[in-house]
Amino acid sequence: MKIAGEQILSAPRQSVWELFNDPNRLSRLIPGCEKLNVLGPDQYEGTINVGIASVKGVYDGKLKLEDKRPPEHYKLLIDAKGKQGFVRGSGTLDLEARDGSSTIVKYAGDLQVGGPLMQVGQRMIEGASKMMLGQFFAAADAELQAAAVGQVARQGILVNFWRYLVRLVRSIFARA
Amino acid sequence: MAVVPKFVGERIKRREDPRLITGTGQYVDDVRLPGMLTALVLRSPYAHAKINSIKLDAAQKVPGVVAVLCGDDLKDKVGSVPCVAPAEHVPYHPVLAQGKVRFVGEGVAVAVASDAYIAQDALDQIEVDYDPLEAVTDPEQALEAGAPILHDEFKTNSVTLASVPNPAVDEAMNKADKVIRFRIHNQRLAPVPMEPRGVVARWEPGYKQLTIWSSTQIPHLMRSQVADMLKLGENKIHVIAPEVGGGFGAKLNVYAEEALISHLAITLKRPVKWIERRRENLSGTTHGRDQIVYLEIAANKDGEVLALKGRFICDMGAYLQLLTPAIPGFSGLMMTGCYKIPALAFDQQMVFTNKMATDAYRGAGRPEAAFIAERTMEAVASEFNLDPADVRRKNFIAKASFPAPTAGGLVYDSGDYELTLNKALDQIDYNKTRAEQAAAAKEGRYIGIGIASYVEICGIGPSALLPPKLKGGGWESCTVRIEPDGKVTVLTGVSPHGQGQETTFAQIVADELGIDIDDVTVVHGDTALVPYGIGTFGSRGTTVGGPALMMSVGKLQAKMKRIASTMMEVPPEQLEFRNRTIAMASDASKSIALQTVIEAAYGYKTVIEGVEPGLDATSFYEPSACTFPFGTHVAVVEVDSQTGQVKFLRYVAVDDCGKVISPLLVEGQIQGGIAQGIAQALYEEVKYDEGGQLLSATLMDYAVPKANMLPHYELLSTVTPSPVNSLGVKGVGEAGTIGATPCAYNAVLDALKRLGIRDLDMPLKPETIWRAIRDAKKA
Repeated sequence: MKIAGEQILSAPRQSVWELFNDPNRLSRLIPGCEKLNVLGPDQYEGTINVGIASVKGVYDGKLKLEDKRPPEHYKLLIDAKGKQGFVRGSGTLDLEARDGSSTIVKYAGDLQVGGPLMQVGQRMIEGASKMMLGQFFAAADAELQAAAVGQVARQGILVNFWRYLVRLVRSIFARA
Repeated sequence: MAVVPKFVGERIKRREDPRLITGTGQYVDDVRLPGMLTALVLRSPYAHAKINSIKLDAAQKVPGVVAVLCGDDLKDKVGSVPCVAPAEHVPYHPVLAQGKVRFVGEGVAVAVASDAYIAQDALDQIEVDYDPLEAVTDPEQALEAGAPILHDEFKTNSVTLASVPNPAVDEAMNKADKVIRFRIHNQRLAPVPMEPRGVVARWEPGYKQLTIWSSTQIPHLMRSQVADMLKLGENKIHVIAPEVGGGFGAKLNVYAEEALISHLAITLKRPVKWIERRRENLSGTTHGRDQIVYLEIAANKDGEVLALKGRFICDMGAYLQLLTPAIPGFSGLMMTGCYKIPALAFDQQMVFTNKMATDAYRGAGRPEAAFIAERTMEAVASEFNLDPADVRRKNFIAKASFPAPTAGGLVYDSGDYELTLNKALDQIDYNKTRAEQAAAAKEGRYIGIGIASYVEICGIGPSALLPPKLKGGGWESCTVRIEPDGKVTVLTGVSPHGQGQETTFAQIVADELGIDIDDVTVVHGDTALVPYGIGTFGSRGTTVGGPALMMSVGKLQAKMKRIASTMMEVPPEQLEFRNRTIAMASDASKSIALQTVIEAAYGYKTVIEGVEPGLDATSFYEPSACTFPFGTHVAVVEVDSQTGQVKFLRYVAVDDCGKVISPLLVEGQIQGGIAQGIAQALYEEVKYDEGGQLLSATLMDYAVPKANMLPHYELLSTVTPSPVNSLGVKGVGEAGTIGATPCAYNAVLDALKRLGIRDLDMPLKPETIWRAIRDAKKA
């Protein structure tokens, strides 16, 4: 499965870069993430609990960051598995300063998904991953804005996602 | 006493059905034995991976779990899953993976517990450490240098390369007005029997006797192979094929679980049951087809086809099952179809890929052949702007030419191909339908007429045609026993699972002995009761099993005539069986009750010189040749240019399966066959992604057609008896499948012809058609 896209986050590139390198904050932003621990330099292990179609499960995995060029690029290697299948692959993250206060996040990945997760959920899996990415970026944006004024983002993922959707709809109409 | 009616040729309702539709038949899952355990198999989520380690201890500690094993525990205890067909590279095929997994769904470990829920809990506790390897799912890529190798010992993914060269083909190619070339892909299909596979095994330690209940088409052949895998005497294994809820070739096999579950029952000294789940069935039961052919057709402007040449690439999957490499051969030999094409050459490259093994699936090689032949006719018609019906007429083997030798080296027994074509076209009113098609085109509608004339090879067959390593030949056995009370028991070596021989064989016996059909019971699928038999596949049940039945009936008739002739003091050759008597042919009033003769045979109070007591005869029938059923299917479809949806307007099938024992059963077989053939043309496809993940692993994704996706069938027939056997029958189990795929395909392509669309890959799902229409309109 190939995924690719871009998102604008309303924070300077350096702040976004710091966020994407902070497992503590990331673990709060990733939908279903139960833990994300540092294993070593640029190596993490984590647990995520997600349900796609009728396939609900807990996946344990390892993450590795490579080719780091702060504050603009890294490559992410992922290898996760659970009773309901596995996800392996790699992706890239590129940050471009849009202006002083916002950043374009470009991501691309090539993932191999297998097991019941793929066999039963394959028709849902792309939609579900897009939705989870949307939730993640909404939460990340809220986190960055809150951090800018020295607060911790209080809202849950769903509220943030809702705000993200509202903004998305507004931006569509603004463009028109 | 009432006159006994005749049964052969009558519309007799299937005698199997009352128990099946009232839920009183017994399938494997209905077998319940005291102390029985349930086994579940853990299957690989990877298409290709090295197994570093398997941790079973946590699973073994789950309360209620009796045993958890993996492949390494079975080394030297259970032999390789067998392939009896010849191939250059036949890999070792362990019942549970050892060291490496090679397709999604391959068994890795087994858990045995007091019930399925506990066994599932145990599976969840097994930890397998895999090292994923690159997978290859495209057979053409698998042959390229640098492709991941499935079986390291062979250093290649080639299973075997079989070549049938012919210099006459090249000559014809040079001489012909035109050489037409294109590629055909008969996609991978799943047989999807309604009842998945299942095995129950019981070991009786005191008797050292193993009983296996398995949902199989070949109880005896399976017994021989499992005996070999477990190193047990065949006389120590009793195989029962109870009700089998569909086989379609997928159960013409010997599977890992048949030996594995037996091994577990023996070592645990408890009965063990394993019932396949649907996702296992779609990933771990043999698939069919998956054959690419690069076709070259040498043809002249008048439509005459001079030669065919095919380069086949056949996807065998990761391992070879019982007959895997034998299937493509039929496609090559039969690809000239019902046409007198004088020259044929082909080579077949069979390839390992990280997918489930392919093997026989309803038609087994012949649907591919018919598809090639019928695409050939359409291509020639298209190329030279001829009517496709005329091109067929031009090339048909003439009625007067039978027995007809073919370019493939076969001899077709009998046939009248043009008759079925004419009958089908009359029924559809061909000229009128063509006019309607043209009128509809003016309104912007896309109507297509598809024709497919087919011939297939059945009644297999002379034993020399079967793989030398197969334990058993192409013959069939039958015992007929007339019991002392006059009731008749037939024990047949075929193993019907929907074909209805409990009905047809009873019809035959009733007529032959002049008794009622209710006086006959047909027993099958039990190796302790039935003499060694070969089983049901390749439309051979009645074609080969029937003559064996006739031989045994004949022996008993001769014996009873001798007894009657002694009692009546008339020569035996003047006697015949009629209305529960043995009577003089010339004078029905001179007769003796059948029961009197039966009692004489059993009571044996008067010794008749040269006649043994009892009425029991066993025969083994070895066919002298194969039979070749044929027919023509014609479909009229309308394609919705907005959605790509195909709607059937008409579907006419004219089939000739020789003499018909039961018209009702023949119609049933043809209807089911057409449904599966249309499914290949329009709906079904086993799909793996590039990494070898199975995407069609559920019935949400594998498109078995529903009733509303199929046409109303107009079924007609012609009768050309086969000279090969005493019944004149040809076989009908696969005919529908073979005719329907090219028929439906040709109809859709005919509808799209005016857009310049000549070639699309099956299945012709709405998306494929919609895209083709869009692209054609753009161009």
